[in-house]
Amino acid sequence: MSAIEGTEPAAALGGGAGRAPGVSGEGRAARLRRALRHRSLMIGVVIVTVIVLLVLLAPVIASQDPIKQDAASTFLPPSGAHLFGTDSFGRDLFSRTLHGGLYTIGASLAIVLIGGFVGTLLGVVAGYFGGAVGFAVMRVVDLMLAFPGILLALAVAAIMGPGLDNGVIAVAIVLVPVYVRVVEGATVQVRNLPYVDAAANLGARPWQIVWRHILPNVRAPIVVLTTTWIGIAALWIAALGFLGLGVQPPTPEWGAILNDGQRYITIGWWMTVFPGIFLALFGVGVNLIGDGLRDELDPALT
Amino acid sequence: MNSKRKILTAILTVGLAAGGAAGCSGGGDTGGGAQNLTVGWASPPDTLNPATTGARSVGPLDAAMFDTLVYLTPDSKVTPGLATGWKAAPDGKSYTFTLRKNVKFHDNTPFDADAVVANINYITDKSTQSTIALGLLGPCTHAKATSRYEVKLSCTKPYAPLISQLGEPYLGMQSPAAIKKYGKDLGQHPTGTGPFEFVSYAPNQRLVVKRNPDYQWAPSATGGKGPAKLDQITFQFIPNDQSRVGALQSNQAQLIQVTPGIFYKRLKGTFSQAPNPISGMGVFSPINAGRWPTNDPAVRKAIMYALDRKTMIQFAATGVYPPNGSPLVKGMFGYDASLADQYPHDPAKAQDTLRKGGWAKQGDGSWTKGGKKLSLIITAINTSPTYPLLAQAMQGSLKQVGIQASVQQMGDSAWEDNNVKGGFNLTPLTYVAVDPDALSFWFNPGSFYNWSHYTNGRLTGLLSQGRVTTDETKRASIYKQAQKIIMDQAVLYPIYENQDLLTYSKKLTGVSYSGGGFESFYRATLGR
Amino acid sequence: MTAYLLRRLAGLIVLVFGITVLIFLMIRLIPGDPATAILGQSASDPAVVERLRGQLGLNQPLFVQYVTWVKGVLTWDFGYSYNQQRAVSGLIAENIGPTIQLTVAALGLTVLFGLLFGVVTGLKRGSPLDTGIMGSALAAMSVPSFWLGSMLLVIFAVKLPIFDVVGGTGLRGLVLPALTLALGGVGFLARFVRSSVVDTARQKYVTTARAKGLSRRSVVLGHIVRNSLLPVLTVIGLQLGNLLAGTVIVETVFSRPGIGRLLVDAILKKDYLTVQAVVLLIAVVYAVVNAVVDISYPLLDPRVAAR
Repeated sequence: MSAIEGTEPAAALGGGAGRAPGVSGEGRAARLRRALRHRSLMIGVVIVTVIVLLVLLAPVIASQDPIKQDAASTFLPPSGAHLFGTDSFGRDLFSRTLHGGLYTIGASLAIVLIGGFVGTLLGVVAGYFGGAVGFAVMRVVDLMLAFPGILLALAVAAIMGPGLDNGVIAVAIVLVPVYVRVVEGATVQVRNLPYVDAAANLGARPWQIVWRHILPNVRAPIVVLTTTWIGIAALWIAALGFLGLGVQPPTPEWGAILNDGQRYITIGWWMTVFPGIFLALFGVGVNLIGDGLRDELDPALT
Repeated sequence: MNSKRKILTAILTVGLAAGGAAGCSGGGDTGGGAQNLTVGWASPPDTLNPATTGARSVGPLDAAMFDTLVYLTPDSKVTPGLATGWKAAPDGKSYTFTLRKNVKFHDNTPFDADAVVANINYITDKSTQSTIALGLLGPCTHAKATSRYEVKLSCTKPYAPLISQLGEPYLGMQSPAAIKKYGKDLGQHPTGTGPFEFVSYAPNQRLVVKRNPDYQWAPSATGGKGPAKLDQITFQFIPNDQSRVGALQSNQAQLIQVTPGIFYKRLKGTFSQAPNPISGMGVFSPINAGRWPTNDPAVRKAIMYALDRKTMIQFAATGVYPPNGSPLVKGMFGYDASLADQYPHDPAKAQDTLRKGGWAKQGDGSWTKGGKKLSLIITAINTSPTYPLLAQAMQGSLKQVGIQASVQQMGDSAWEDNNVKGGFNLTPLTYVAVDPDALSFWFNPGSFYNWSHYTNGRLTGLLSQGRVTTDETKRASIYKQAQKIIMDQAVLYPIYENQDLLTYSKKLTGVSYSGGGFESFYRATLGR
Repeated sequence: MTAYLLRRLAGLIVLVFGITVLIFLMIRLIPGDPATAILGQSASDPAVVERLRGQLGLNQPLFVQYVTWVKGVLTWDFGYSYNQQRAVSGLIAENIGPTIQLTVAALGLTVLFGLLFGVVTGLKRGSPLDTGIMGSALAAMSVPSFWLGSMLLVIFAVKLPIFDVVGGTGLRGLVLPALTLALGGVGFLARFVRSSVVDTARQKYVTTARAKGLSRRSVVLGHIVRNSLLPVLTVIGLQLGNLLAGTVIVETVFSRPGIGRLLVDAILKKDYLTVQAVVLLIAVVYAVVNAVVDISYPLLDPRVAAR
């Protein structure tokens, strides 16, 4: 059950808790060299780069209008004129798949940006200042994590109604507590280090301490968390599209294209196979990068 | 308490159930000469209670279990059903029905005048919350038993559509004992007099009915006599198109309804097929005259010319449905073939109409008037894939003449709500009816279905005249005039004749339908 | 030990209380009047709207409304679904069996194959087998289940009619949905078990056991595998939540009855009382299972209780 597959436990277990703060003995260049040697990281980077390039260059490579209907060329199998074939409206699927990536990848980026920003902010606040506010934030976080992720997203989408923007907000809301928990943990650890204490005693303002000492130290878990979640967010947005809660037609989002094609799966394999491969490859690539980054940034785990 | 125990039982039996029920479907070729038919049905019912259902798809299911006072032949002629005869009072405000004797409900309650009265009272009771059934009765909401087998139905004013509407399954007669016994849960215990009796119902899963061995009161117009031939019918609810077709191909179902257009084409030859015509207004889109920019008659007319029903049918259903160009579909009383030619597909004329209406074409091909850009909202109900497809096809046709449109898919109650509030310009849908009075539901001021948000004194006048006129020639001419106004005002775009595309095993014969397009399995048999 | 149990139990009660508050507030967040939203189409009758307003206590303070609702929930009364014309409790009772069946089957598959692949790859780290299985695990986690489900359906139920297309509750109708539901979890668990096995294999006691001259077999089974299982328990608890939520899609793809499909239908039909009940049910089950997992920890590893 992959669309629903939560990697939040992985993120929670692997991303934040084990990280020893302030360990950055290696130089930047050395780290980069090591990263380049990391096989899965490299494969992941290559896959994602290729997909993102194809998607960004869609207007150039796939010059056919992704929403142009043509009654004379419906259900055409892949050919020179239509690399990925056409769908029930005679629309070019190569063009739809490439243009669709912009919506799916864009939406998943928006999700991690919104969720990550709000979550990090709340996490730092709760971890740094603690007290009643921190306690309240963390209890709400516990509560939200008590729901299986996609269920919460579905419930939120149910209240807000269908649409890609609503889907993005719904999944981002699910993401917030995941970030808060990880960032709060890391913040508390750093906050209690002697030199941070010293800085505070010397009169540094809280936001300076957060900026100079806390954020650099929580960066690693945030980066790992974000990479992992880009992949999950893409799957969830596609799943919402499948359930009729995502983009509205004729927008070519991957989940929506798959949903259209799924209706004709015995008639034209190409309508589901190509966008399916793109979505799955994107997920694999992002996950590989996440794995690699975890190994590189989190020496405690390797 | 009861449900708590049910859950516990469910949990305990899970382990056992895994092995038990394998192969319970696909009984079509089980031995022993048993005639068990499995039907792949597209829409799960809201309820099986004919009086309270709001879904057209429940009609045929109820038709298996319930009989109606009159029976509608496939071409919508009214013939005797549970009533052997009827007489209208000279003032047209009441009807007296003579009922068939020796009829009993599945629970052995006898069918008589009191049963009819109990049904009418049940439907009209406010707490029942009847929608379709109540609407079909119109102003005729009072019943009185005048003898054991004679019942008088009174109306507050004459209502010409009544007699044929009594033949719709939503007015199927239910056992008065069951009405009393089950109350709000009546939908879980459908008890009628029909050729099949209820066995079990698992919502979203299946409905099982079995032959009623005592059935000796089949309407003579069905051509059948005595009990049904099939022993048992399982209606398996499979909303997913692909799975429904798959069930047929792998013989887990011997018949499927609502065959998607492209499969209907591809399965031709391998399977038997029947396009069951569904009477009424076919598939069409109201054009909302109450919202900008379709409040402008020029825009409405331009839409009529711009939309291309042939391409729409091609996209949504690979061209399998016959196009329809008038508010009422062919075969309906009052149908007027000449209306179909009023707005041929003509992009040039569409643009011309816009120009004459004061709209100006911009460099990017779009239209503006008074600084506002011409753009429409097309909504589509998402419970069936057909409507979103039609909406997208409409969007495509309109784009060709420079009319921008966005498509929004909605769940059923949100969609209805939006239609009533008028938050759309176009929305493809279907309306099923057996009488042209359907038009009054769509164009009378304040009517729930006035989704064109259009009223016109002359139209309203004609429609109310149609309700009370019993002379057939006069009545037909009234509805022709009414439809002419609707077309002239361009408040409705007809798309195609609605059909329920049935695809079924060649071993299955005798599947038919009653007037309105409600499938009937009464005379169906499964060959070897 | 008892103190630990009590603490966990208290935590669970607080959590479940929080869940009920959140879900209760959810329906109040719907724009507009909750009664009209719940009734949808039936809202045209003012008398019905008024009656429902009375039932939900909408004219009373929020706190009183909450208490009324919780009282109902405790007596297994979730209100009446106007859309389905049924009591919500009845809908749940009918649909929960197939969902439990599916979830249990999928959990079984997840645990079985997740452990198997995880242990094998963990012990054979770096081998082609490891790379192959781990690559597949990643792919399994990245494939959308609705896509995989329809592919399996077409291949193994339509083209090769081995299994039932129509989601019956029999074994033939269970295999494909359970596989689809389990696959992502298998990939996830295999990856987790693998790293857990690799970690354990490096521990001192394993080296000691090896040095003692214990057979490879008893080192692997007795030390490495056994000690890797503890964290796995947590993951299985968390997986169950994902599986339960995953039924939403799998039941839809396979036209199976169940509370997942009930939920999707209810969402699309804006049948809010049903949405509320199903979400509550899944969340509470999830919370309870995870608490049980936590509580069973000390039974398996006494060190936890001592902490």
